[in-house]
Amino acid sequence: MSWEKAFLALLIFPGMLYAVPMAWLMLWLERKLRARMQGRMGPPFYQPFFDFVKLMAKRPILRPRTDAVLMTGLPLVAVSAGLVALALLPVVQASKGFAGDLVLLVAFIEVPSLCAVLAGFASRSIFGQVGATREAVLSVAYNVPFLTAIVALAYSAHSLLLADIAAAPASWVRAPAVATILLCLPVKLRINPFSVSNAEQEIYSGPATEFGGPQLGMWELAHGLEWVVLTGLAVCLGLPFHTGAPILDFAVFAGLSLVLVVLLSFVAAGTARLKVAQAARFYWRWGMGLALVALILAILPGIERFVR
Amino acid sequence: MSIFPVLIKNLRTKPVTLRLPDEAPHPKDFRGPVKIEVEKCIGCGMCAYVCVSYAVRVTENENSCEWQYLPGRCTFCGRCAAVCPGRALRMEGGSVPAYLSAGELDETHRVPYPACPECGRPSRPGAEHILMRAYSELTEKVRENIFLCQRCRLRRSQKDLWATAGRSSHPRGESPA
Repeated sequence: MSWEKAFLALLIFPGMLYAVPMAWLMLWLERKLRARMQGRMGPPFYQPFFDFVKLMAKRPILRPRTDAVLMTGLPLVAVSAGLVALALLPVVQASKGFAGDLVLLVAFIEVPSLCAVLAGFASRSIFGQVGATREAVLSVAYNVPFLTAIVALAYSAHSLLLADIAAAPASWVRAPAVATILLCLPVKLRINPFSVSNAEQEIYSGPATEFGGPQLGMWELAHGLEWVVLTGLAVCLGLPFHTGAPILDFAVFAGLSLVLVVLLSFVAAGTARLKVAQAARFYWRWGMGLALVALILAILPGIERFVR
Repeated sequence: MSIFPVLIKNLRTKPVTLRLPDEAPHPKDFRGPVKIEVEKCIGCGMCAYVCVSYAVRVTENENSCEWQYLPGRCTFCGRCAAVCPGRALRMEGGSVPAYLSAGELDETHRVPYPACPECGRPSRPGAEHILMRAYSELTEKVRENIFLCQRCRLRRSQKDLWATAGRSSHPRGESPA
């Protein structure tokens, strides 16, 4: 990946110019669909954008220096990590990454959640700390199956290059691995039934409780970008479909991402919040089970060869 | 899993919530913003006195008083309308409309003090139905007194008193003990 291409990916597609409006669109779609399924009217489609503008125009609250630096810096780090992760996605065939970009992507996907944990503790609010603790407990529970599934995919494709993995021929590994990644989406996006860490009404809004103004605006944007990255990752890995025409690729990518948002909204509207232990147990049992199936399927051919 | 048919049904049917300018019909005795009928107001200031949120204010001037209402502060408790002796205040049915800038809905009304028929000085406006509570029936004399200013009313009743005193030996009764 040359410098120019990297900048193009970061700033235009699938980076900033695509991701930020898409993030707002996804946030709106989820809210609107959830509202409609609950019989409410829901917000107009420009609402997330207006929310962002309103928050950015507010004066930040004065805090002691360390807190202020952490509370301003962490959401910014989360937003940048989301953008960089997006730039690494192999959406268009021509944008071939570099060796090891899978590891980098996984690392950047994890940054917003890590920032949320740190922010929860940095805010010194009891609700922020409860939310941060829950996020930390859950991130251990869902990351093990998530990473196992990614490892299984990488192992079966014999590559740490995202583009290679996405373009690898269909195999039995892909189905359980992508299913595991899909299973991890609700908890990574903190929607029902796994909305334990930001638990609206229960602990206000978890790690973001003490945040307001531009800082909160950045959190909202980071959350929107998480939606774009994670649905994008699931689409890239689950449907390695390249038509050759970049515009068509883009349309398929964006369309399928939105379809995933619709499905996730159904899950969010149709379920109630679990407890931390229940959510963690779910991922250790079902997520891990599915991921292990993928891993075994990925390793089996190698063992066969080894036995022979 | 029986929740999903419910979700689909909700998606198909119209939402139960309304957009901001639309409103659900209010119940019959809903207490909305306070409205004043200036011609019934007697400028007593009771409404401002009982208002807990300082939403109703009455400022007295030389020949009128200003009745001010700030819906943004109002708690719609209805005390002002309940205590108004002139029945000039009432609570409107609907709710306060949405507004953009602070103080947009504030209203001020001027309650003029009519001139006293005797001396010409401005006097508090009177209302017959208030006097009906004090006197079961209104005699011609009482009716005349309503529109006098306080000084002229006092002077007239003094004159009446002296006239009665002149007729009997004691102003209070027939024979002192």
